[in-house]
Amino acid sequence: MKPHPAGATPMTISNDPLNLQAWKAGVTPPARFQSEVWQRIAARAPVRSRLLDGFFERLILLLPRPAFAMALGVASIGLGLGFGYTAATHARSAALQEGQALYMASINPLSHAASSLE
Amino acid sequence: MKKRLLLAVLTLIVAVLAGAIAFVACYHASVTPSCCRDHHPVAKELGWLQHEYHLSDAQLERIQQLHADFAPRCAEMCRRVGTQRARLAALIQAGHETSSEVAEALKATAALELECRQASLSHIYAVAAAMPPEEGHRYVSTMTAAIVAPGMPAGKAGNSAMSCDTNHPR
Repeated sequence: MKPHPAGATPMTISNDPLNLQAWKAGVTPPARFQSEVWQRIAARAPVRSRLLDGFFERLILLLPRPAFAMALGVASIGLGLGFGYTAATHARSAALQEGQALYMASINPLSHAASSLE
Repeated sequence: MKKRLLLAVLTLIVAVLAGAIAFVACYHASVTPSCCRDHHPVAKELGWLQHEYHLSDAQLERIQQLHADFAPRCAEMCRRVGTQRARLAALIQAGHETSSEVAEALKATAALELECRQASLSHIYAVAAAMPPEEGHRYVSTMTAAIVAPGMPAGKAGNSAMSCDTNHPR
């Protein structure tokens, strides 16, 4: 059997040289090996994704805080009131215009006759 | 971390719900005139009238009665005008010159339209009388300009002849 290029020694539980489950490395990695690997992965990750992750982490930490939750609630209510008022103004204006047109037509027989001929 | 995530999601849900409730409450509180809420055409017409001319409920009730009384007359006049206009159109399309029959039909159509305008004007005066004086005056100006004498500027009926004279090119 050929020696492993990294200096690993195969276990003798099985004679099968491809029994990877039983195989263990005989070399111990350097102490900072794992952290260096993660640093390299982190360095290769897209900057946008890292920023997004940071933002969501920060948001998750901030949201349960009473002051932040209260501010969010107040802002949400304010937006709701603003949009509600704007939508109501538009609806009221449209309904009034429609009401005016309907009223004018309802007391004008000539407008009815004109529309009935078309 | 899981607990914080749950709290954050709950906070967001509560905030969105609060915003939605605020939206619905503000919308319903702001859409005040009955014409915006009621989808019935008559309610829309009279709702607009009440809103535009600041009518009390008693005034609106009186006007509603006048409106209901005028509706069948208006429908009958509409039917007669429609028939007369159709007859006139048929005569015009059938001939190639202004025959006496076409001339008579034109006169009859004009007379009927005049009758309709007079009926509308009577109704407008009756409705205006049920309103506060200033609002009634404004109502008459607006309605006559739109219905009885289209093209006449509202509230400037007395000056229209003078302005025509002064603007005439010499």
